[in-house]
Amino acid sequence: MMKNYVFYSMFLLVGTAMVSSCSKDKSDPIASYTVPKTYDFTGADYTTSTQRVKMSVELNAYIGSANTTTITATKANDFFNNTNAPFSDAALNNSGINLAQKTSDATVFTAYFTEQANNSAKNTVTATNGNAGILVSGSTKRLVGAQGLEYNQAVVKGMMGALYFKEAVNILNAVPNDDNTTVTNGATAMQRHWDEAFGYLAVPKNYDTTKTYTSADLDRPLLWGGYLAERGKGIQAGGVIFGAFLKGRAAIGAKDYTVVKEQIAIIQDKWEQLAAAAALEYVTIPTRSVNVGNLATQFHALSEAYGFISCFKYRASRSKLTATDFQTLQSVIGTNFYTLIAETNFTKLVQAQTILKATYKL
Amino acid sequence: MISKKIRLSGSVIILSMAVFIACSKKSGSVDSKPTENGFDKGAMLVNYADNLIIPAYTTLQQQLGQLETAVNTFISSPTAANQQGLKPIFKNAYLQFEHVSVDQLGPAEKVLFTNFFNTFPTDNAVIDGNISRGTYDLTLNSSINQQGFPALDYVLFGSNALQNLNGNRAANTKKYILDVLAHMKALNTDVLDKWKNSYRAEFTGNTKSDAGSPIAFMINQFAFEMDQLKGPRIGWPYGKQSGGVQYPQNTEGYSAGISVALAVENLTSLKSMFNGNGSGKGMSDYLVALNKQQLSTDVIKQFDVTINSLKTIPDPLSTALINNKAQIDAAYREVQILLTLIKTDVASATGVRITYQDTDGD
Repeated sequence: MMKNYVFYSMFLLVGTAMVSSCSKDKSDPIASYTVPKTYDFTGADYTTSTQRVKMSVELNAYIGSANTTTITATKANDFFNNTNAPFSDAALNNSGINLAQKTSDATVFTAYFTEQANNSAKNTVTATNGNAGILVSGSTKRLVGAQGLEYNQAVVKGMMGALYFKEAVNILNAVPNDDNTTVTNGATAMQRHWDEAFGYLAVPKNYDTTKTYTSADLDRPLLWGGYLAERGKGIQAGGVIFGAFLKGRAAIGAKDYTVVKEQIAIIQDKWEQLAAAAALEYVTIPTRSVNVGNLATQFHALSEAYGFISCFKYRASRSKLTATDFQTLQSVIGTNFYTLIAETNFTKLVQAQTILKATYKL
Repeated sequence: MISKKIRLSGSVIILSMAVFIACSKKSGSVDSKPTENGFDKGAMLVNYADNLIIPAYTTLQQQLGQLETAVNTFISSPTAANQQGLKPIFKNAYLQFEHVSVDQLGPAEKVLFTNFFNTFPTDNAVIDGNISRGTYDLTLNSSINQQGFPALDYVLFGSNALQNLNGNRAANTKKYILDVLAHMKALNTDVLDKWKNSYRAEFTGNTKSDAGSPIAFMINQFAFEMDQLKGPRIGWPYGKQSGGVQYPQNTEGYSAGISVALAVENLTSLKSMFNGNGSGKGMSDYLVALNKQQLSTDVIKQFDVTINSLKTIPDPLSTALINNKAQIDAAYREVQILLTLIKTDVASATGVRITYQDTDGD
C-alpha cells in the first residue's frame, strides 16, 4: 500500500514540473517554476485557519466529555464564540477570531449544544427509543439523543462541513478573481486566500501520506487532515489534495492560472469525495452482520454519517451530487436511528449506500 | 518551442500513464497472483465452494426439513416423551448450523444469516410477548434475538415449553415455532440458491486477498468465530467479562443443554475449513505455499489440542461452569492460543487485514 502513495506523489511531482512549463498562456509567458514537496512558500501564512481548527478541537473535547460529565450549553457557546476565555491555549483566547463567524447555519449548531447539554444529564441511564441516554460497547460509552443521534458527532462532523469544507470551497471559488499583484506582508491576496483554504485542511506543512501520525506528533493532521488517512486512503485523498494545494500555490506564484483553476477543481472534487467515502463507510458499518445488534457501534457510525452527509450542503456548484439525491441522503440519515437499523434488509441505508457509490465512484 | 511543448506533453502523458499503471497494481503483495509457488488459489476456492460451503448449506437445508417434520409431530402431541424424541433431531440440525456459521460472507452476509439463525441469548420476554400478541415481524433486523435456533431452543425445550404448548397459549406458541422455522428455511434456501446460481463464480474467480475478497473474508471469519468461542460461547457465560459473575442462561443451546457439543462442532468445522477438509487445497496448504510450513503445522496442531480440551467439558455447560472450572480454564487457554495464531499470524502470513473490529477512534 505504502508504495502506492510514494508512486503517487512521485507522479504528482514529476507531472507538476512538466505541466507547468508547458501550460498555455494567453498573455505573458510563464516562467518555469517548481512545485515544492512541502508547504514552505515564502510569505505563506494560515494562522487564523489553524487557530480555528484548534478551537474546534477544544470545543469537541468539551462536548465529547458529556458522556461522563455534565456540560452546559453556555460553556459550549463560549467555545463557539470565543467568549470568557474558554480555551486552554491562551493564544486562541486572544486571537480576536472565533468559530461562529465562519460557521454556516450557526443556529443549528447552537441547538446541538443545547441538546448535548440536556442529554448529558442522562449520562447514567441507558438510552432507549425515544429517550436519551448511554449506549455501551465494550468500554466505550456513547451518549445519544432520543432518536439515537450522538450530538457531539453532529457538531464535530457537521462543522467540518459548515465551517472548514465550506470555507475552503468558497475561498477557492473566489481565488481566480483575487488580486495577485499587490504584495502585503509577503504575499498577494490570492496567495493569502489560498493559504487560508489550505489551513482548513489541517495537515502539517510537510504532510506525509505514508506516515502514521499519532497523538505523540504535536504537529499532526486534525479534523479533515485526520480523515485523509482514516477514510480517504482508498481514494488517495491525502496525496491528491495536498499535492494540488502545493501545485496551485506554486502556480499562483508563476501566475499560471490555468493550473491554478485545475487544482481548485481537483481539491473541491476530492475533498467532497472524501466526505462521501466517510459517509459511505458510516452508513455501511451499521449493516455489517458483525455490528448488527450492537447499538452503540451502529449509532456511532450513523451519527458520523449524519455529520458527513450534512457537509454536502456546502458542496461546490460543480458537484456531481444532484439536489434530489442530496435530499434523499438527508431524509435517510434524518430518520430515527432505531428505525434505520431495524428495517428489513436495511432498505434506507442501502439506498444511501447506492447513491454515494454511484455519484462518487466509490 | 512548439515542438518542445509537444514533446514535453507527450512525455508527461507517458510518464503519468506509466506511473498510473504502477499505482493500480498491488505492488509486491501476496495477493497479486492467482498462483503462489505453484499453489492454485482458484482451485482452493473451488474446493471451498463445492466441497465445503455449498454442501454445508445443502445438508442444513435437509436437516431443517427433518426438523420441521419432527417439530410438527411434537407440537401435534406435546408430551415429555415426544419432546425427548425431538431433541436429537433438533441437536443435529443445530450442529449442522455450526458448519455454516463460518460462511458469513457473500449472500449470507447480505441477509445477516448468522444473526437471524444464531443470536444468543434470546430476549425471552419479547418472545413471550410475540407469542401472546400473535403479531411480530421476523424479517426486521431488530428481531434477530427472537428467532433462529436459540428461540427454538427456548420455545421447544425451555422450562415452560410443555406448559405453553398445552395451555391456552398453545395455538400461538405452535404458530410462532412454525413461523421461526419457516423464516430459517427461507433464509437458507435464499443463501444456497445464490451460492449455486451466481455467487459461486464470483467467489471462485477472485483470488485476491484485499479487503472484501473471499480469502480476506474467510480469514476474518476464522478469527471472528474464534472470538465468538472465546466470548459468547464460553468466556462470557463463564464470567470472563464480568469479574467471575456467571451467566449460565446465556450459553448457546441452553435449554437443550448442548452448548459444549455445539462449541466442539463449531471448532471441528472450523478446522475443516482451515485445512480444506484435508484435500491439499485449503488455507493450511496455501500457508505452506507461502513458505509458512511451521505456522500451518502449528495451527492444525493447536486446533486438535483445543478441540480435545473442549471435549473434556461435560454438557450441559450451564452446570459445568460451576463444577468443571479446571477443564474450562484449560480449554479457554487453548482457545486463546489458537485465536492469536489465526488472528495475528495467519492473517499476517496471508496479507489479510482483520477488519471486522472497526475501532473508531472518535
